[in-house]
Amino acid sequence: MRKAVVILLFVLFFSCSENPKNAVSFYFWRTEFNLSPKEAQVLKDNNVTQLYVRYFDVALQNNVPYPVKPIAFKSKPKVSKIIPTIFIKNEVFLNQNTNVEQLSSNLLKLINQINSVHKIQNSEIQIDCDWSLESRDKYMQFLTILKKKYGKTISTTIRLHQIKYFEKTKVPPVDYGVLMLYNIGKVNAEGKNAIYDKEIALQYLPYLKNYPLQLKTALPIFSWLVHTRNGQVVQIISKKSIHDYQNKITFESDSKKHVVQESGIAFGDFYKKGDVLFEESISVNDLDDMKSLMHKYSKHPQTEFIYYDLDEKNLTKNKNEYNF
Amino acid sequence: MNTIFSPLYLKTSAVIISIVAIFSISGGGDYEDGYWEKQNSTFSPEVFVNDKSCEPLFFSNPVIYGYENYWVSYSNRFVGYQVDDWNTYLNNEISKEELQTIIGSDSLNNVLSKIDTAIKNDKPNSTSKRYNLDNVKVKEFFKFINLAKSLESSTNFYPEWDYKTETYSQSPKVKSTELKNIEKLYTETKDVFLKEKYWFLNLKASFYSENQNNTISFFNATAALVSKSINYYRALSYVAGVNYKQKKYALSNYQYAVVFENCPSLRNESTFNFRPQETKDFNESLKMVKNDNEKAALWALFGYYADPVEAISKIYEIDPKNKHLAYLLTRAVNAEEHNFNKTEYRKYSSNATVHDSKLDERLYKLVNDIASKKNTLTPYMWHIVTGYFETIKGNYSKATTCFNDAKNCAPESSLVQKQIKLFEIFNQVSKTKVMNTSTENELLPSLTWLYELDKKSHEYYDESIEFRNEDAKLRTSFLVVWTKSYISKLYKKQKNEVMAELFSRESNFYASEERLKKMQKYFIENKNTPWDKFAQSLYSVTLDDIYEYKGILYAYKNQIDKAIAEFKKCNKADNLYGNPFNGKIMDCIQCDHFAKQKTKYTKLAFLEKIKEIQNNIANGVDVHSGNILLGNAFYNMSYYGNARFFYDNPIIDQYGNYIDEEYDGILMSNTFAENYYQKALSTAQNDEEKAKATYLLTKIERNKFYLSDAFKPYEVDYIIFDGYKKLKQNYSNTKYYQEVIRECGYFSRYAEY
Repeated sequence: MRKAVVILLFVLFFSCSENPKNAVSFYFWRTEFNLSPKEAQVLKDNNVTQLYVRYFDVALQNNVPYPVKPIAFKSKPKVSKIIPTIFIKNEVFLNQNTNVEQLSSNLLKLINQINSVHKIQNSEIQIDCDWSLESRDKYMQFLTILKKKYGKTISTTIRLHQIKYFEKTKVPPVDYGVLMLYNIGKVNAEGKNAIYDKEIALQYLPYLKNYPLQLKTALPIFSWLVHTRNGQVVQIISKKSIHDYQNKITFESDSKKHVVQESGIAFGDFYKKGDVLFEESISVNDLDDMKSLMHKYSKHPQTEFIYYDLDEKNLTKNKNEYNF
Repeated sequence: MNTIFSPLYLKTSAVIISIVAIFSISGGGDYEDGYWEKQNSTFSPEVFVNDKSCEPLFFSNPVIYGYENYWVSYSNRFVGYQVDDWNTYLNNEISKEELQTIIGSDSLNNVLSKIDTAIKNDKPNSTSKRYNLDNVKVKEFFKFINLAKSLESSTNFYPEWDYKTETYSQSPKVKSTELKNIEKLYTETKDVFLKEKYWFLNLKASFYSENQNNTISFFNATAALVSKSINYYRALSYVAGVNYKQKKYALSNYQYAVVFENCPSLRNESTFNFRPQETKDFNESLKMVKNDNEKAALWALFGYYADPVEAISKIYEIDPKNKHLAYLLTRAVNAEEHNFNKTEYRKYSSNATVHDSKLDERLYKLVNDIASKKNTLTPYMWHIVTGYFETIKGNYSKATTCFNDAKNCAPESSLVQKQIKLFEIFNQVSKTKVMNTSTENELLPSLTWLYELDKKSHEYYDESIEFRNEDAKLRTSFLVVWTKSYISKLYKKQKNEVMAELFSRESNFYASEERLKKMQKYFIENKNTPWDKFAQSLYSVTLDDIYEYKGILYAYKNQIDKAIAEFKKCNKADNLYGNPFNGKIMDCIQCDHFAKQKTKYTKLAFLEKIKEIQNNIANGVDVHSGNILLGNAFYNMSYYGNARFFYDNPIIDQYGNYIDEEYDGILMSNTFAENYYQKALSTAQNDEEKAKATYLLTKIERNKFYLSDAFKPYEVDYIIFDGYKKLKQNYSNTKYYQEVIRECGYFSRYAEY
């Protein structure tokens, strides 16, 4: 194990010095901020200077937008720049009664509160929202107001379909966007990768040349298990590897396909004999591929890749050759 | 109590949301066909389980069956029980209506606080005088309710835009001193009714307190003294919740099973909170049971989440007469149906199929075994399911025996009888392998009954009436679609394309002239047997529609004589909505429809007029104006014109903005209109006439552009058409030119440039 970590660190360092042009940064998406030694080491080795930290989500409660699970800092992040990232559910902007003026004030107030408690300064906020045509206008209005009130940098996440159909989906009135190059395909029971599907990506990426907003790119380093039964998807299991099931469920495994041998319960879920778990992950080649596609298709130079997400569970297994 | 933010509501809703992700196996996990339970099922759980507390737990794709109804009444579901309880205790000193307002809302909180002041200071005020506080029970009620409401900032959930660094949670915890106070009230109160209220209040407060352990210790110390009411099981649920949080999963799940077994009104909550983490947790829970009922309840919960077949087998071993067996069997059968019944949605007639190979052999054998022993509470149910499965396996006579066995022991309830009949029809149609006069006659009464029942249950779909119309509980849709698909396939196999089409309409049937002729011949023969009439009643196309269809296609080929001949055979005489010979500068279909119109044209009259003008032109009469009129006529018949209604026909079936590919070459083409306008231009006598013909041709040039690759939305959406250039260069001196400028902004933008 120790050897694997050493190799990991070496390769990270090496690859980092080999490709100095692209800054490396991460999303931090847990509700408690506390880095494991390995996570901290990865930040250090890759000269990570900025972290996009999920501060809270916004969802409707009784038809009014409220924050969900604000972050608790158990330790202070050792990076020079923290970018509060707020996930807002689309339902917030679909709701006719949402007052975007009020929402932007509340959002800034809560961010400031969190910052002042933990003595964090920042000059940028990132908003993550998978807006739809129906919520588009309210969302754009919200961003305009937020930008005016905040006065500093605002960025937003962008999905692939919002690039291709930008005339319809509109371009957020912000300083730059982050293209999420993952969750591209449909989750399926055939073992086909849904996290990254090059064929589908290629149907969208050529439209980047027309996209007016400057973009950074978010790349996946997570993996998941797709649990299927009778040819249908039962659930997606995140942050677990097939090895976590040892002594709980027995499988007959063939590469990335694992068939349940005997019914049983594990991690609160039932696995029936005959159920199939497909491992989906991202290889180094995939990441290289995605990066070169972005360099090829983006009309703005790519200066930073943001990896989703910083978590020890995404840094172990056989991925010790990650090329961040 | 602010019911909307009721903590149980939120707590449970959070659990339910997690179940959507975690336990969607119970729904098969197919999120796309949300209404599968009605669409792909013939087996209706309501027919067999008449227990409202089980209804939300029926197999369903959304986690909760009948989801919306369930939620509407969810957060205030105990208010009625509390109101009745207090009203009885108070001997109606406070009316039920008023208690409802006090307990179920916040609207009288200010009144309550004034009464509280009066009681504490022992000094009546104008508000407190409205109630008889000399009555000890009334006074105690107000003391209790004020205390209970004072805890709501902790027990209820009020989201805020505030960063609570102390707890990082949304509500403050109840202080331990407050718990001691409630416990003191509980200990000192002699009144049994009040004592129990304080007992429950203390447990609820403990659950939301900084000392959650108190929930368990207080419960263990006192529970034996308390009657087993709803409050008792609510309290036990809090205890189970704390145990779960403390990772004592086996104990927690055992306690939820006890609640599930003994308190129907908490059956849903206990189900949604039950969650063993590992197999060993469940096995340990099994060791904790005190009797067979508790053991069966644990297996029932296992059956809900994990494996209903295993659960049925275990419960049957424990007690063949256990009440949960029926409910579990409905889940098992519905889950199987979800696997073996499939509906493929198609434009006119959906295609339904039954995949016999997908039937779970384990379930088949188990149900067979239990049915043969006839010792459950509902033996007919097991016979019905066995019969259903025998049909699927192709054992039709065995199935008949099962249904007869069912009828021999089934209650006379019309729902059960109709459910049996549905499966008998499934069996009867399944065993039919050839369609001939004899099988047709055999099937006719059954199918007539089935389709009639289905129609009626849809007529009563209005939710408020649904409960009164019992038949709406039966699931007929799948069987209707399947019988039609099945019979159609048999006919197809026998090369009887006409009957195959009548039972299941195909979208491209009339694309083949041969098939069209066969159908036309069939209709002309006017077959009158009951079976033919029945088959025709299922079909949406008539002989008139076929004539009209042919006539329309001839017209678009400019074969007007042939078109007229077809239309003359057709007994439809709908008027076109506008004057089809008008050629306006602006294409405004609505304006033409609303414009005053001296002569109304039926489709036939329209064609006859075209023919007349064509004859005139051939004879050299009104050649220029005739060509303009014919150009207008063909233009208006097209997708762009005011007589689009011309192509309205159930076989063509094109309307609105989107035209299917197979028809766009016909309906979106302006070829004939263009030819006539060209002829009009070449025979024009003066600039006015030339200007008009040039402009009308430009409309066609414009239509072509928007269909071509040259048109790129948001990039190239404005070009200067050749026709415009010609108009500006050659005819700017005409009145018509000025009219175009007035009416057409697009052109005036160019003209004035």
